[in-house]
Amino acid sequence: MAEPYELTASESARRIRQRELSPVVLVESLLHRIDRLEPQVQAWVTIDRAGALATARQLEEEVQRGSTRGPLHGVPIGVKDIYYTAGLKTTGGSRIYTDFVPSYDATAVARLKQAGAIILGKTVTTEFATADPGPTRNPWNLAHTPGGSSSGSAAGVAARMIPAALGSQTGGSIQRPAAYCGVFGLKPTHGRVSAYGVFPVSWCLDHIGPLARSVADIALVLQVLAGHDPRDPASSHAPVPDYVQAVQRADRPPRVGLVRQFFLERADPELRQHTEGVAHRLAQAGASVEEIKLPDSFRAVLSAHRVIMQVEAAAVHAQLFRTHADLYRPRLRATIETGSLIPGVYYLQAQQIQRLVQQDMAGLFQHVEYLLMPAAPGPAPRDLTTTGDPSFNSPSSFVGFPSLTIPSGLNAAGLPLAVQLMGPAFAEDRLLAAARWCEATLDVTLMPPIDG
Amino acid sequence: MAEAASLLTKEQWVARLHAWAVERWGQARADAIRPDIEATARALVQVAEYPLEMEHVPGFLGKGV
Repeated sequence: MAEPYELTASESARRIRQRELSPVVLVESLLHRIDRLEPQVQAWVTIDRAGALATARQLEEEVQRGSTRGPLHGVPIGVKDIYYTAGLKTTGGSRIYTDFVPSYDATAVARLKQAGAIILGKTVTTEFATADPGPTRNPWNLAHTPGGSSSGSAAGVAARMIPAALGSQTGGSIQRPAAYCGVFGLKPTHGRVSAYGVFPVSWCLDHIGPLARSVADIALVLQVLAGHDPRDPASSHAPVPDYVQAVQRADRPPRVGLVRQFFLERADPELRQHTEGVAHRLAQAGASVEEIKLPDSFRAVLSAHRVIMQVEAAAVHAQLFRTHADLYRPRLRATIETGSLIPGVYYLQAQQIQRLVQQDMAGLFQHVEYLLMPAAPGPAPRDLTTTGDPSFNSPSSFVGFPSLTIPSGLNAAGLPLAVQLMGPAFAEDRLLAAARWCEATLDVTLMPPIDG
Repeated sequence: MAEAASLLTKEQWVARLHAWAVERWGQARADAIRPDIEATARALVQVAEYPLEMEHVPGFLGKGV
C-alpha cells in the first residue's frame, strides 16, 4: 500500500471523498516527507504547518459530515512564492519582499481554496520568477539545477513532498523545470488562468499553470483554475470545457506533427534520439506522426520574445528599481537596465511579430492536431548557477498556445528526459486527452532516487 | 531616430546601447551589463530587419490569443 505522500492529487481526492483517507493524515505524511528531504532539496520558502493542519482538521470534519467544498477537498497544494497568499509570507524570491505578507489571495489561490485545497506552503521561485537561481536542487541529482523559475514547485512535486503545485511561465518556467525534474507541467493558453495577484514578469507573456505527476492531476487542477477573472485584463471569456472528463475519455490516438526543425536540431544528441524513439513508440501504438515544418516567421521568435520580455520587465520593476536597485540580483538587474534602453518602436514591432507568428503557428494545426518536440534542449545541467536554457519553451510562451511537458524517460546518467505537446489556443481539453493517451502509451513513472 | 536606428548593425547597436547605459546607469553598470547589451543588440537587429507589412498590427496590448 502506497504511503499517503506518494498518492497523486486525483487519488488523494478520491480517497478523501470516500473517507478512506484523512486529510490530516495526508498532510502529516507530506510534512514528514518534507522534514526528511527538505535539507537536501530546499524546495520551500515557507511551510505553513499550523495553517495546513488546522485546515485539514476542518476539512476532515466536513467530509465526515458528508460535505465537500469541491474537487480538491483535502488535497494539499504547493504555491510558487510569487502568488499572493493572504496572511502567508510572499517573498517573490526577492530580498526586497523578505517579510511581505499580502492581505489577499491571488485568484488562482482563492480558487484552489474554494475547491477545498490545502495550501501547504510556498515553493521556491527564482528572483521575481526570472533567471537568478534560488537554493533548490534537483531531487534526481543534487548537483544539478531543478530548472526555474518554478524550481521549488517542480522539485517538490518530483520528490513527493506535494502532489501538485502552481508555477508560472514567461519563457520556460513551468515546462523546463517539469522536464528537468520528471513531472508534468502545463502552460495553458495565455489568459486561460487569471494572473491576478501574481507578481508579473511580462504582461504579454506571463502564464499561470500547474505541475503534477499525472495528466489527470493537471486536468483536475486546471479545472479549478480556469475561467474568466474581471480583475485580470488579459483573462479570457472563452468557455471552460470539462478537462477531467476529457482526460477520462481519452482513447483516440492523436495526429501529431514532429518538429525536427529548430528543436531536434538543437537538442542534445541523446535527447534527439530519445524523442525520435518516443515518436516511433506513439506511431506504433496508432498515432499518426509526420514531420512538420515551422513557418518562416518562427526564426524571429526568440529575438522578439526577448525584446518584449525585457521591456515589460523593465516597466514592471521601474518604480521599485529606482529605490532598491542594489537589492536586485545580477541577472534581473541586467534585464531591467538593458530593457529600459530599448526604443519603443522595436517593442511594438516585436508585438507585431508576435501576432504574425501566432497566426502562422495556428495554421500548422490545420495539418496536425498537436506538435511534438523535446521539452528542453537536454537534461538538467550540472550547474547550480543557472536554471538552464528556456529556448524550447519560449516559443509556446510567445504565441500563447497551450503546451504540456510529458516526462518520457531517463538518460544514461539517470536524469529525466521529457517531450512537450503543443496544441491550438484554448484546446486544453483535447491537448490533455491526447497527452493522457501518450502517458498511457509511454507508461513512464519517474521517482527520484532520493531519501532522507 | 527610429528610422535611422533600424539600419544599425549589431556592433552599432552595441555601441549605442552601451552609450545610453553609461548615460542612464553609469560606466560601471554599463560595463557590467555588456553581455546583456550584446544579446539584446542581436535581438534588435533581427526584430528591426523583420519584413513587417502595414496590415500586421497588434490587436491591443495585453490581450492574449
